[in-house]
Amino acid sequence: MPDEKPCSSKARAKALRAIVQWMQSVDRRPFPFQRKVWKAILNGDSGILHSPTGTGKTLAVWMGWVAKWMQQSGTFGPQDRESKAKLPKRKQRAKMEPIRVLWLTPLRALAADTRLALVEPVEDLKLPWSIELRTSDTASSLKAKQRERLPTCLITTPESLSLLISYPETHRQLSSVQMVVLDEWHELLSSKRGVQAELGLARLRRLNPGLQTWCLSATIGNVEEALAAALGSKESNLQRGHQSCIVRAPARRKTTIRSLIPEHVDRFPWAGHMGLKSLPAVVEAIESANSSLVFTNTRSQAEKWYSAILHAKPQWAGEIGVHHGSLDRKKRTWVENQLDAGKLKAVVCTSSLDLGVDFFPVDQVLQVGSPKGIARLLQRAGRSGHFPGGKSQVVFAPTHALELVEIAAARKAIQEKSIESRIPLADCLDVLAQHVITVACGEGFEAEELKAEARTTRAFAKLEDEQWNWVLKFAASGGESLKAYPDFQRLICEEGHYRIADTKVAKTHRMGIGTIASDPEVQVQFLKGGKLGTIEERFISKLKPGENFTFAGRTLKLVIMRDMTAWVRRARGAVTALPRWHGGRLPLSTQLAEGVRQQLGMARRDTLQGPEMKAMRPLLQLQARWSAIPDEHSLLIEKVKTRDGFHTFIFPFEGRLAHEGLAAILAWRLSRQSPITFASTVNDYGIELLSPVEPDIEKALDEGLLSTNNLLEQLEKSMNAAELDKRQFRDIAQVAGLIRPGFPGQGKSIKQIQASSSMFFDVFTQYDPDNLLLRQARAEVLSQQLEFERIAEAMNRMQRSQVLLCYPPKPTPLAFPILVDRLRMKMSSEKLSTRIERLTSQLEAAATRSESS
Amino acid sequence: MPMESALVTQAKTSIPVELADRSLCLRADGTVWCAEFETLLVGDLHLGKESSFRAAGVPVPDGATQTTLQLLQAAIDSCRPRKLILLGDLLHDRAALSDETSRMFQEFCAQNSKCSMTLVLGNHDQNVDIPTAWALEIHDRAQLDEIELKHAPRESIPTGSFEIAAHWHPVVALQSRLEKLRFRCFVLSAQQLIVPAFGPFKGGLELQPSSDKQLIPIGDYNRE
Repeated sequence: MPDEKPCSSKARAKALRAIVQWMQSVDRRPFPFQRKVWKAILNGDSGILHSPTGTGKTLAVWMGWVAKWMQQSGTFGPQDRESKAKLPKRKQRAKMEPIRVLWLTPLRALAADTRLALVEPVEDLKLPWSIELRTSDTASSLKAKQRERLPTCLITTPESLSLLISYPETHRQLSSVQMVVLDEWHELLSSKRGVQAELGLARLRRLNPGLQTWCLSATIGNVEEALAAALGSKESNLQRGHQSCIVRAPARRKTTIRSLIPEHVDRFPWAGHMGLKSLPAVVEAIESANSSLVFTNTRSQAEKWYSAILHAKPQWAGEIGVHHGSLDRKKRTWVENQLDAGKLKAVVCTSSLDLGVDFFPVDQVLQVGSPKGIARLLQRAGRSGHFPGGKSQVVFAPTHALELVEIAAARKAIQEKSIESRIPLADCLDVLAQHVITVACGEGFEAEELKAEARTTRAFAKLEDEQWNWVLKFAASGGESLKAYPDFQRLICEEGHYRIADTKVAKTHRMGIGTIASDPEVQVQFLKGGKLGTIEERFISKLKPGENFTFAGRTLKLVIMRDMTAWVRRARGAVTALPRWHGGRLPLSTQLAEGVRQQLGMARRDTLQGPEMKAMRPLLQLQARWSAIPDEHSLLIEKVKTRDGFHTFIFPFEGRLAHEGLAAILAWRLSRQSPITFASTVNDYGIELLSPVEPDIEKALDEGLLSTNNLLEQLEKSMNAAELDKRQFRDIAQVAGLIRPGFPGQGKSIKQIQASSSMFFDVFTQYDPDNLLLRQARAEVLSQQLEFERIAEAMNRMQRSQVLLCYPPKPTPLAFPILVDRLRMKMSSEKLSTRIERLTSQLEAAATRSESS
Repeated sequence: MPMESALVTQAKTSIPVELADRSLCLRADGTVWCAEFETLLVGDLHLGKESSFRAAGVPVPDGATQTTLQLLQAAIDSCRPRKLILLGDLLHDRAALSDETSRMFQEFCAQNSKCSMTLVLGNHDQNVDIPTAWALEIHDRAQLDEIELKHAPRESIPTGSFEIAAHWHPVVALQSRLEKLRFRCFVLSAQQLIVPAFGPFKGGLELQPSSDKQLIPIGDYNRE
């Protein structure tokens, strides 16, 4: 170590040289974007580093921090750690640098690999740093050590950051944090976890105003906004004299898309969303490459495709794997390691392998079913092309013919570099309420200070006093209407300082920290002991002991359900139940939806471009003959009668979320004409309204069915009628701590305070109607669940469109996929009695039929 | 018993049934009226459930307990029973017995001092010290003539015996491809009657009708 610290510009140059030297020693040539980031970090700036697929982002910020530390400490070469190695482990830990860097990752699955990447230079340069993980998978012994002294760099999740804030011991240590890295920030951005991270960051900035924040992100349409969400309000940054910059890392290679177009495209898009029809082509594609990732859109689909591939190629047993978020951690790690070691031919996965771009590169990426968005497709494509000079190639396997239109649209969008934005959320009072209690569990807070702190975030920049006061009351005593009850007290206020009422409350709160609402899940475990993963309780509860189901790529027989665990043993037989996981179905992105409308528009004008659209010719011809092909300026409505009832198909092509809202409002408007019950089904292309009696669409169209007047007001009314907010309330109730997720092995005492969110919803609606959580549920349904902006735009477009009202003899190719989808929503203006009578008479009829047969 | 008779298709405020040759009246509010013995039977009340939740750190507003007692009062006013039998789970748990719950139930008792009240203990009542001021006769089981009154229904009942029980919070769903509606229900078989939970803020156990069990749904039939 030099005797005196060199002057800072010299130190800076020396530090940069030291890291470049290290890069060269491991055969890596620094990219220009990496140098840019290093300089910015040495300047003390914050920023965002993004690239469409890219690599080297981790080292860009990490080596920047290494240089920064060298500059600060005046230590440029390898450190002599021999003497320290002799110290007992506990003392060794104490000699390490205190906590300096928090590395936030959206998936705990990524944490271990991130650590490997960060440890490499630290070991080579013999820096006195410790690098550890802290996620829900971390051993409790290590967590206890961390509570005493955090490592120099902690790789963790937003939930665990909240936990660190909730313990006084760790909260104190956080003031020495100098840099936060938000890895895969785009993934967190438009979720409540992002809001949770924003609040955590605000806390860190308060503890250390000089905190540097770096985001690593895929390229999205709104990089500036993503950066602003990470850094908090402009004013607070100006106050701290903080600079920020945006660095773009260039894409490594070009992305090409090839579709597996079947020889004969059916005139009717294949029924069922699993569409295994392209299985032979997929198997062939897997065969042609050394290693492939097969991306599917849902966990069920991953299970289904894995089984199907294995069924087609039994000799691949042991050479292919399945990977999704509900599988046991050990199973997933095994697949990841095998893939990394080049021992697997293919892995069928979900978005669980979207991230972690630097790891497990493969020869080829297959996308099964709609890509849903362009950014997502690009990111998945980025996982391929490992060989030198390779291109990123995505092989697309449609699950029904109409998806070919999507891929044609996606290719065009990629050419035009039109990529989706990820819009950060705002005003999530449930998350704020949770955070307030979290802070109270730790050091406690003064109300005015915490309010000001929350307002420095982008999410709560516009937090009103009234909202804040309500949140504070809700956190402390359960809200306005509860203040009179002595049996409920969460926070205690002494001389303006709030803290948690007792340790028991703190403990239950810590258990519930997090913003991912999930359905009750049960563990799946072999009788002999091996854990397989988790499955939704509502699925398993429908199975009887002795019945088979498919999970983790195996056929299993349910033996018994006990203590939140489904005990199973291996089984034989092909036809088994396939678990379903609810939620998380992505809508078609705005960009892609617009692309689809354009492609169809071209088809209407009889110009079919590209192999996909050309393959669709017979289907489109039938559509045109029976009904019509809509273009950018028209709205197609089809009326068909089947034995199920009267179907009205409407095709806005606006994505499934917006369609749910549109379905609610259109059904509501139709139901004003006369008492009627609708069941609606939506997919990404259109809406089906099914009714037992014929709705008078023609008259409704004349009377403003598509009018944009009173849209918001009527949507709220129709939401109530369809109980949409009741569904959204489920998530909010969980985040705000009303519903405790069940854990395996929990005693009865917890069970007695469990109630379904719909019971809470009823109780609140009846006895505390002004509860802001109810209002938030409504607002969230509008903004997120239904994408109100998109609904308003769509309605505006539909109003101006030429309506093509058709009466096809049978459901058309466009309508068919909706018909087979099963997401139904009710809308009724009939009296309950009418509905009961209809239902009972149907049951009676069915019973009579079964008797006579 | 054919399945379709399991469904009551006309709107009624009560339905007469027979158990052990006694005629009972299943009321649309979920209670059972036995005119012969001037006795009113009611299932799980779970009084003070809001307090239990609040004590456990879950903020739930008040109101459900009061509504439950108001509904029960309405049933008493219309039947004028000599005897009221509570079929268990009167209170949600120990924490449910807050001052407020205690006061409300005491008021209820005072208002109905002419009616004798019996509590058949339920699983939720086990660890609760029921205030003596409530003047409840407390038993593990009771009798209505030869019919046994219990909280938890038995799975099989010895030949020649009969019982009325609660505990399950039975619910039935009517559904078609188009819609699904859930109702609280009575469950009636040859030797057994199971009554639904009473009042708001209760969960339910969805049952399927079978050849030996009639499910008799109750609901606010005129609700829109």
